[in-house]
Amino acid sequence: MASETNLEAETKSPVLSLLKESSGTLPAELRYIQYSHSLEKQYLPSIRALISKDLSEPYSIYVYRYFLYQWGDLCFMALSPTTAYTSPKLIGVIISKLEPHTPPSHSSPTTLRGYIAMLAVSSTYRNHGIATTLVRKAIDAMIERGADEVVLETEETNVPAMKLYERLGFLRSKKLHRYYLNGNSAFRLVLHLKAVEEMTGNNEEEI
Amino acid sequence: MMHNDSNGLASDDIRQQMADLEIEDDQIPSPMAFAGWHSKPPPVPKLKSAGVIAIDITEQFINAAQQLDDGELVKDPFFALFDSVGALEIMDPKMDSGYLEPGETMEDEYDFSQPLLPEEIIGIIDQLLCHEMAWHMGHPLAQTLFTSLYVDRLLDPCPTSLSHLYFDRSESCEDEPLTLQVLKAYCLGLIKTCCYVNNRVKAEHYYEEEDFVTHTFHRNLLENFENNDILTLIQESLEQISNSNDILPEVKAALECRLRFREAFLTTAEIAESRTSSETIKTQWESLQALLPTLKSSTKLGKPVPASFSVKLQRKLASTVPPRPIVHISLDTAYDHLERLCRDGSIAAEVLKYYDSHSLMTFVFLFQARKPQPSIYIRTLLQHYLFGDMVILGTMSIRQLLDDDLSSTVLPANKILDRANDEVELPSDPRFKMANDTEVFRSRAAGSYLDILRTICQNRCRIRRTLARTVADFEILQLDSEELDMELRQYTQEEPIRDREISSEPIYSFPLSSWAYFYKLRQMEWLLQMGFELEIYQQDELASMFWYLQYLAKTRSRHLERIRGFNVRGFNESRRNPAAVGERHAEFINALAFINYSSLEASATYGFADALSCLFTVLRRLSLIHSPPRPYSNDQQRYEVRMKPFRLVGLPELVPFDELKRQVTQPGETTLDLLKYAAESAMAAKKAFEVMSKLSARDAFCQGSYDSWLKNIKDTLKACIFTGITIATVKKAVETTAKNGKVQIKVEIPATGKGYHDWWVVPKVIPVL
Ligand SMILES: CC(C)(COP(=O)(O)OP(=O)(O)OC[C@H]1O[C@@H](n2cnc3c(N)ncnc32)[C@H](O)[C@@H]1OP(=O)(O)O)[C@@H](O)C(=O)NCCC(=O)NCCS
Repeated sequence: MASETNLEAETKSPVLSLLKESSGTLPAELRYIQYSHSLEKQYLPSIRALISKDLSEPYSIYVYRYFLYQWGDLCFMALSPTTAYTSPKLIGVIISKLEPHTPPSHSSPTTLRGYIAMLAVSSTYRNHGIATTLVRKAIDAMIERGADEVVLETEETNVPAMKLYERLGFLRSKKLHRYYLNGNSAFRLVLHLKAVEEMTGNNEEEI
Repeated sequence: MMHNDSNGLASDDIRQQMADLEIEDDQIPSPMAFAGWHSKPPPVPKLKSAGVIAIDITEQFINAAQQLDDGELVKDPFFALFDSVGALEIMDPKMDSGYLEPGETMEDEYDFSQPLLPEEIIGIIDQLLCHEMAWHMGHPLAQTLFTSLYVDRLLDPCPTSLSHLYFDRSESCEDEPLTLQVLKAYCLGLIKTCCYVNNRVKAEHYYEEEDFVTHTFHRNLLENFENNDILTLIQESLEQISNSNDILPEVKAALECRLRFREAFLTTAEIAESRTSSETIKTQWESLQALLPTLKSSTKLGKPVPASFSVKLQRKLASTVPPRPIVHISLDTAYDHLERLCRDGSIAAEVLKYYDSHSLMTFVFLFQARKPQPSIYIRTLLQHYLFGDMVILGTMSIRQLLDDDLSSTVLPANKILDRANDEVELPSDPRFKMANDTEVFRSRAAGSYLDILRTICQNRCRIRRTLARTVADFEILQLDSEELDMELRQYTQEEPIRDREISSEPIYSFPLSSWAYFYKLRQMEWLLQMGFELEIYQQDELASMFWYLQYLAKTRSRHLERIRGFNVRGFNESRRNPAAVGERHAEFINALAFINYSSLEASATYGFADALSCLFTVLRRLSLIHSPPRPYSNDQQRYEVRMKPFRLVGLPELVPFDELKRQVTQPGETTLDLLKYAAESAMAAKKAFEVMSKLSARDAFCQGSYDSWLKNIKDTLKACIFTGITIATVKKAVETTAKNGKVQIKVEIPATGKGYHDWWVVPKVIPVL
């Protein structure tokens, strides 16, 4: 996949035509780029700004760096196009990680588990499939790396986010009582990318 | 969105380490030094701790940092997500609680010697009540009660005696004004009440931060002071108010009523801990509740003193936690919570009256299903009543409870449970061996059995999550017990049932593993049903989930048949022996009554679930329920996600996906046949629920909670009747399908809390024209 060889793999947005039809004022062309550390200076401040505006949890710089430093290739940004006069503007971002996960009780196998930590799209650009594209890119990149499953949490009241993930195949696996600092509960959403017998941990057990 | 758990544990750890280092207080740079810090770094604190030698690494650090490229990051391999989440950005006002704006001071400059109007005391007290209730609801003390400067003044430094405790520490404190005395007495009572609540919650099973924050930020909540001393102070203040001539009568009454309320709340918190008499506890909660109307109606007399609460106090409490806003809840919300606390507290105490093990479980289940769920303090009190000091309800041994349950299900009047076995000392005697084996079983099963009760005391989300674990535990318990069963039957000389129609093999009763299996099935059903309540399932999963529910309930029903067979045989044998009437008969009759009740309940459940499963299948066929495209998963993989809690359960075996799909979609049946079958199932279920609703508390094993039980059955019955109506509407719509092949209806699925019963998701069908 392009993103593995190209640090700044660019993709044309699949929603271009739709965007044009649905609203004349939206940019004619969107770019999706993969994050890399060299982009920190240019984009990290806008990533933080976008996320702290839309997500209720406050994250410190260390949290962002924790993800971006280790899994920058699982982070994608949606940029509005550059014109001669303006620099590209960040309008959407997804931040994730991918690690082996061992359930505490050892009741299930160790899996290579993707985790979507943060997702946000600037409010004026919503409902045009941008978040969907970002999530798909992150999942595709995880699949590339052999992920067994992807999980995430979302506020129980966040209907748009839940619809988006469920449309892609996620299921709610549990509800987490008062999970967030604001006292709201969350749903854990899970997507299995493989049959359970084919997951990493099970293969290891056979060896 | 990930959660950012930056308060609590991690920082607490660090604080403890810091405390262990014994930094000399006078050497700590004053915060003021930071605020005005320009060029000179603060002096290095002197550390003295065994084995710790402090060295200055400033130079090495600067050198090392210069080796790095601009923007280069270094990550310690041990720096985990947890650390990143706990890390703070120094000098960022949103995270650094020590950050001061230019000119800002660290401490509040609040004048404790200023006189307060009686009305202001009312205002402060009412605000404190809001904070107290906000804490009960799960907010940390640092954002609630500990934002009060008056409370802080009493707790810091930790008081050594109550008699020399004054808000105003200046010399003239001896003649403390009456208003401040009242406030002080109230605050002390308040803090001591909190002490009881905090200790209770901490002693039981609860989830820190999720349910409650027990963190006291190293403040002692008057742990070492006697209730009586504080109650005396309150009494003295009451007397002084009544003697005072310069307070308006209505204001006087308002102050008195607040002190009385605090006196009552503190006394309640103390009495609620005792498990000797449910009546005393109930009366106490009721008299507390009786004070609330007067409290409420005099609220308007209060004058708020916002300056006596400060968000800055958090800096003193926890320097490693980002500052958080003061939590504000309205007085109405606070009174509502308090009122519920009184009501629920009073009902919780009723659990102390024991009838039988099944009624006990019904009580706990229905109490926890109250809406809104009883608050954590009450839920932990309930746990205390149930299992405190490993004594059940303050009077019974765990063995007694467990034996009660065993004898009322699988072992009525059975020699296995005979207490006389314990007295046999001859190791070769079968009774000695029986006593031994049952003791092995008890020591293994008691924990699992009590865990069911403890699980249903948790918050609703946790109940479901924990059930996944207790099911796994009962799976193992069942297997372990099978071995014991086989061993035991050598000593009991059990005669197997031989019935060629069922099996060519002799059939043994396997009482202990049967018991474990019964409870495993119950918990599997509850797990599924909690999923409906918590809205875990997507619409196109509902047909399968109800199918699974009916499958489990049917399995339970068959299992109960098996148990009944053995019980009836035992009963018949026992009746042949006229010497053994009386108590033995009562035990058989009781166990058979329970089996009958549980069977009736199981058949009502599977009928209803079957009806809904068919109905949802029809709605899918009619394209009234849609499935999203789901490009990243397939049916099989989602089935594995959904059934994960049951994956390792051996019996009943997980239904393979293809089989489930066939059973749920029933491709061989016409839509009208499916609807006909659904209508019949719903009707059968309705009849069963009606029969249930006419049972006595004794026959329904809900003694002590009959009213809640009946309401629960009636709600289920309503949902069932409504299902019948929906099925009929859909049937009519199918029969009169428009020429274009489209049915003229649409479907709405009510959110949880909006239907008749949260465990029964009944679709609502609306005609479209
Ligand atoms: C949740 C959030 C990320 C969704 O962003 P988004 O870009 O609007 O999401 P999408 O456009 O991909 O999907 C939303 C809607 O657009 C529709 N859509 C999808 N592709 C589309 C396309 N190509 N053209 C037009 N519309 C499209 C979807 O059908 C969906 O509609 P529906 O949910 O009403 O059925 C955004 O609302 C947000 O930033 N919220 C705040 C932060 C947040 O909640 N993050 C998630 C926490 S984990």
